[in-house]
Amino acid sequence: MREPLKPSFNKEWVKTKTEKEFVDTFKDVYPEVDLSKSYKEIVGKPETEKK
Amino acid sequence: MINQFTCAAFGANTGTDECSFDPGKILGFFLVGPSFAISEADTASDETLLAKLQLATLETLKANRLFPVHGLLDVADNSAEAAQQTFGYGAVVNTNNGTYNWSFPFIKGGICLLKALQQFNGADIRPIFYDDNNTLIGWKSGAFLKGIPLIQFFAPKWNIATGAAVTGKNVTFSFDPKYINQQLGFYKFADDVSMDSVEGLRNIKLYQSGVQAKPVYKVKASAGCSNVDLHTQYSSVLAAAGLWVAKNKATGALITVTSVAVDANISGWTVTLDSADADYPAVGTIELSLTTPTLLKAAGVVGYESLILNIVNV
Repeated sequence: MREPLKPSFNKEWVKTKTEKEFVDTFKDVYPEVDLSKSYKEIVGKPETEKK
Repeated sequence: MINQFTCAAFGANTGTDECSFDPGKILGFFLVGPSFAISEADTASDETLLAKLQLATLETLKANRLFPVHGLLDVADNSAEAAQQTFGYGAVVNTNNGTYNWSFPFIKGGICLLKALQQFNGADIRPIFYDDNNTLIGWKSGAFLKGIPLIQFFAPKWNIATGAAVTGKNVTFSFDPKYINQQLGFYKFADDVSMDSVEGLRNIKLYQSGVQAKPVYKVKASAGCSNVDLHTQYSSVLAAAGLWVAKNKATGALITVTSVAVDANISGWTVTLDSADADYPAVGTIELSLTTPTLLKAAGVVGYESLILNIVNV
């Protein structure tokens, strides 16, 4: 069984993008990856949503 | 001052110690550039100097890099004897000290190593030899041990194997004797230090494979002359955006690598570039490579340098 794909993203570049831009960029490249989750892992939640 | 000349120094004391330095058989050498120098501080311990030599093999700029060659099997000493002049009354005097000309055969590394050495022909490359007593032998220039300036470095064409001899591969050094006589510099390592631990880099060749859809590129990597597939050993290590470098060939400007992922289907990697980057050529050539040998080593990919893959966007 193949391991789930875990792309390495350029974090500095990702932080300059909105989640939609990020997802749109990679949805065809990594269709099997939960890109929204990847985005949140890199960018994190806005300060107001933390706690 | 007018009409003043300087007499040659009147020799040196000739008392001897209980032991002395006698160069042994040359087993290998480190090729370095003119600026490479070993200082007194570098010789604080064997470990310090060995670390310096090992780090120098990873230098990004080849002009600053150290290129080790091990496994010399013999030496053909074709050095020119001191030239002499005979006077009419019978006196014979030396007119010069001749030159060293040493030729070393090797087998390990084969034609691959020979081709690499041939690329130094004509370059201002300098050797620091090491012998079978674990002693570095070079040129003492001021307070530094440096590579020996050469009249010529030459890696000649290989000679065909015969019934009595394997394929002949040699490397030849020609230089002025003063550099390892009056100006000899040496450093003795402990006997248990292995010079082989100073290893040369191997090339990583990148090549495209599978469907290419710019700015997403499918790339494979192999290493060394035997083209060992690197995916087997480093698939996940090299799936790191920070280890890849992309440049616009026309301008030399960096292009942002946005993502890298393993592609098991091609036993390679998917490398995605930022097509919105002002330096990304929609039409033109991209130079793709892995990062520097030092950063590759830090990531666990030890002893490699990436060659550049030209990707042509049409």
